[in-house]
Amino acid sequence: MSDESKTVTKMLHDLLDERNYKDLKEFCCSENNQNQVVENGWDILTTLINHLKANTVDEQNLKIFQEVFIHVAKTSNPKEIILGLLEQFDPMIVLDIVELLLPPLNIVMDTLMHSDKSHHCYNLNMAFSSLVYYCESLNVPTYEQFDPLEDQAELLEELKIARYIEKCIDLARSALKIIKDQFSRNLIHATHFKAVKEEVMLFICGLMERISVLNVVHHEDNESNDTGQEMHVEKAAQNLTSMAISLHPAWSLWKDQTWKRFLPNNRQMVKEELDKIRNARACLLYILCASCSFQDQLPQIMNVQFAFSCCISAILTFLKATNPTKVHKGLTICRFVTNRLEPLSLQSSYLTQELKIVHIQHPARSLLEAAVSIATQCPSKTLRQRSAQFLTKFVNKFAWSDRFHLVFYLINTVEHSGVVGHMTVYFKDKLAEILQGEPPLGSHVFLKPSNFEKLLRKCIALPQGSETDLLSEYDRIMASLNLLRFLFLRDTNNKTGIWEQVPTIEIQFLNLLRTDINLSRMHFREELKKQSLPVKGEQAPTPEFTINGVSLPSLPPKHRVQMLQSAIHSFDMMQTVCIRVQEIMDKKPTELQTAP
Amino acid sequence: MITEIDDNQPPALDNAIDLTEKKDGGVLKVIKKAPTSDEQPRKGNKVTVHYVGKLKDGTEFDSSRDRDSKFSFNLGKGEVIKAWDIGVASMKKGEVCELHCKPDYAYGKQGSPPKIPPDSTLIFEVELFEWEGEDLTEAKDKGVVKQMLVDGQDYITPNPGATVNIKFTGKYKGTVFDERELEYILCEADDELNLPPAIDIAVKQMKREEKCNIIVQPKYGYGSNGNEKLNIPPDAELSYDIELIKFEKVKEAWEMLDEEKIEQSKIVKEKGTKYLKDNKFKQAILNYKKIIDYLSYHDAKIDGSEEDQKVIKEWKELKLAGYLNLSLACIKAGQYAQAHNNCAEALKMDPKNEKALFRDAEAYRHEIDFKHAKAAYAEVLKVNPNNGTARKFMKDCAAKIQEQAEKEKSKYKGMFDKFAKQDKEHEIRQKVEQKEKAKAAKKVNEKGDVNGDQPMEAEST
Repeated sequence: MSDESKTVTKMLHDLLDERNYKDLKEFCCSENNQNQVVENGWDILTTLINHLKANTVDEQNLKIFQEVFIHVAKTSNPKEIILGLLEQFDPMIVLDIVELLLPPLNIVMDTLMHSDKSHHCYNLNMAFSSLVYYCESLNVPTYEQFDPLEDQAELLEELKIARYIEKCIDLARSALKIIKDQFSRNLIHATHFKAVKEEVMLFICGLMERISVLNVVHHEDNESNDTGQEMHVEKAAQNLTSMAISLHPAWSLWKDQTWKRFLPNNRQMVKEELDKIRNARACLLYILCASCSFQDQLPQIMNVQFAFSCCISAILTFLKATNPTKVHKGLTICRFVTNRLEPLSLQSSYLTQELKIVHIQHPARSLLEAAVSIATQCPSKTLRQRSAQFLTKFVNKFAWSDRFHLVFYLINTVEHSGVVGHMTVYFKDKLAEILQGEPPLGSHVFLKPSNFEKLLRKCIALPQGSETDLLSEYDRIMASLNLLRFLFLRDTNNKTGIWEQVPTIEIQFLNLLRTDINLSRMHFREELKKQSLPVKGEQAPTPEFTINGVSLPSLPPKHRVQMLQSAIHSFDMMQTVCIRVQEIMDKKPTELQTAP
Repeated sequence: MITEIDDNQPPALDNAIDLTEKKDGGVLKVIKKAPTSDEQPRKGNKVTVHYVGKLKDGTEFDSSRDRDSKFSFNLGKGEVIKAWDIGVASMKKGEVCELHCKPDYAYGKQGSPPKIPPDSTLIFEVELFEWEGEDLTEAKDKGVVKQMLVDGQDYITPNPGATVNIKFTGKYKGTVFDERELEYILCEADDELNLPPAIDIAVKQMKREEKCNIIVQPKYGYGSNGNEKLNIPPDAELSYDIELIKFEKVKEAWEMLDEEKIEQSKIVKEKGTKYLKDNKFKQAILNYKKIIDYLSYHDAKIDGSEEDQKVIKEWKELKLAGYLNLSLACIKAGQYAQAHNNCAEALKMDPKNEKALFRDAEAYRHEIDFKHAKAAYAEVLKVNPNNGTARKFMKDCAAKIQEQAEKEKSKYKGMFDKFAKQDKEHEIRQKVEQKEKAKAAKKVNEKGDVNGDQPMEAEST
């Protein structure tokens, strides 16, 4: 370090130790000290930031610091001072301090964009990666209690990230404006400008990925925003989207196959980076779908099937996430694109073969799998319900043959009683539609004997035979009984072939079910008796006794009795329907009795 | 001026042409401005238009002119509403027309909320500017640009590994240099067949009985070396007319049962290994990737029967081998980021897999990232302290790190020495100058003393 530098540093330290910020500013901004400031810009920055890190400085004085930073940025060598500035975008430094550095960084970037045209991409990449890196270090809310239906005020963490992103956008816009101007004046080549746009898109992706983990609340119009409170995350998301649209039309951003070429293709990216880009694109699609501001940007000539297929990978990215705000975003995109699809308008093979957009082996199955997993495991009740509704709504968009295969696939692979019950009801509804009059075109796939038999057997299967836990399997069993009741009542002409299945239904389902009901009821009654007996002290329940997964001993005595009574009531209900099915089944229509 | 039409009756539009195959009045065209040329776009071309869309009551719902951005799309590919794929295909260069589109050919009963109500007839004024062939490359660098000559059957296209029968004519500057009919395995053609990469790229996207022409840039043709055997000079732009006569697809993973997936995985694993031994890394990677595709999921249940457990065990072993082999092939092909990704996937399945840890280290070593490589080899040794190769490479890496440090040291030392030398020279120069100045001043003083009337100020000047 030269003597001059040592003097400057000592002077700064003295002023900082005295907290004499006014003199500090005077010293740094004075004409007389310009040479020293220019030569020691980086050191001055570091010294001041270190002081800020170690001391609490009030808002008024923070402004003084920022003025000094701006002065240093204006006067120092931009190629050098940019490094000094970016060095400070360190996750260990609090956002309030980092924000002081954004305006000076903006100034330096602008200077470099003007003076160092041949290194636009290098400088942009260097600055953007530091900005995104810092953004990634900011805390994200956990959203443990997230419910999209609840009106929630923005959280502090959300506000901080949104505020930072807004400032980053300003910085990028400013640099981009200069480069666009240079391009319009033919000062830079088209390929150079393309490379710049790629850097900016990568930056947008970096920030958009951060938005993807936040709750973006949208207001349909100004009226619904009762609180009049500005939604910072929404605004940041919209500004990022606008910036992306200023580079490429919304239509091109929407199309899965054109999206990739907007990003630098000469870089090898590791899986984490690719995942971030996938999340960013998914979030961009979400903003385009959910925000009214971009309705005019999407051309109203898009083929709805095509529009849907372009979103599949984005939807899957979000539906497979654990962050509930992402799941919410995924379901919102789903609703936006599937609402526009007419029933029977999709074909599985069209999605996998004709479009070749989605590099997913079986997009329809993958979407359903993801939806099932949300419907059964997501902590948010609203999201679980929305996902369950999506299942049948989505299957309905497919042609009849696909409907059959998708229903069979779900019933065959999913083990959750509620989902199987839900799909069994769907199967019953489709059969009702078919049996109503003239069968709809293509619906014969449901009536093809081998298909019908295959699906019916899956619906009526008892997972553990006569030892099946009737309470945990209640939904699927009741749905199966209703399906049988419906078919024996309605299909008197045996269009489905249900009457040929009577022996199988009796042996593999009803007999086993009856035994199971009787055994379970006896078992529960005994336990109830035990609980109801007047004994001294508290009656200890059977240690391993569980009701629908809940251990009986863990419940208070009063609840134990209630639970047992309710369970017995469920068995009674099941038996009533079972008896009814048996009755109708035994009354085989006479014309069918004479048939060979 | 927009003409009112009734949804149930074909509109009585003067000079309107019914463009539908069924002649149901679903897409009616009225030419507003004659074309500037007779050229017409073909299916698959990327066409550029301006348009204004209105409802029957005259409400404008969309306009590319308002956005001040022309609209481009791939014609006949189902990207836009049916009416547009039919209507724009009928247009010629420079033509302006009005397309009256019935709901069945537009947004149907659902409409497109909030702007297009259900069951709406839409009216578009369209101006066709230009078009270009379909860019078939993944990088979208216009390296293989296709013009459809005859559309094919269905919408099924061959997948990598499919047996395809093609007929093609290759031309260079209008002269035929290659004309053949052949059967080969898509994406795995032998070098002896002398096929440029563009053929695979094109055939992968063709339908049965389709004929097309492709313009191939050198990168996707015979590159900067050309092809002596075919008389193709370096950096030649080529043209091919290709016909896909027939093909037999390889089953996709979702079409297979677990046993089939495992069987196919074993086959492609063997093929991949053969390619790897022959240093054909691209083909090796392709085959190993198929293992991962085939084994993306299994129908067997984790808590299922003994048979299911057996299937899952074999499935896991094969998938792990797939990731490991793929990482090796990626290292050999110089795709280090992908190699790391595959090692990471293998380690997810088996966190202490020695091979995965070793290959991860190898990828770093090849990247000349000795610091990470050394750390990665250390991980290998944690799992197997007897791995001699890892120990040797770790030592090598340590030596390389040391070497690099020494180099940097000497580089900076040299730099500092140079600076010090420069400073010294500067110092000496300054001293010499000062001495000279002092001498000169002395001389002047002496003269002044002689003259006695010289002013003091002049001395310094």
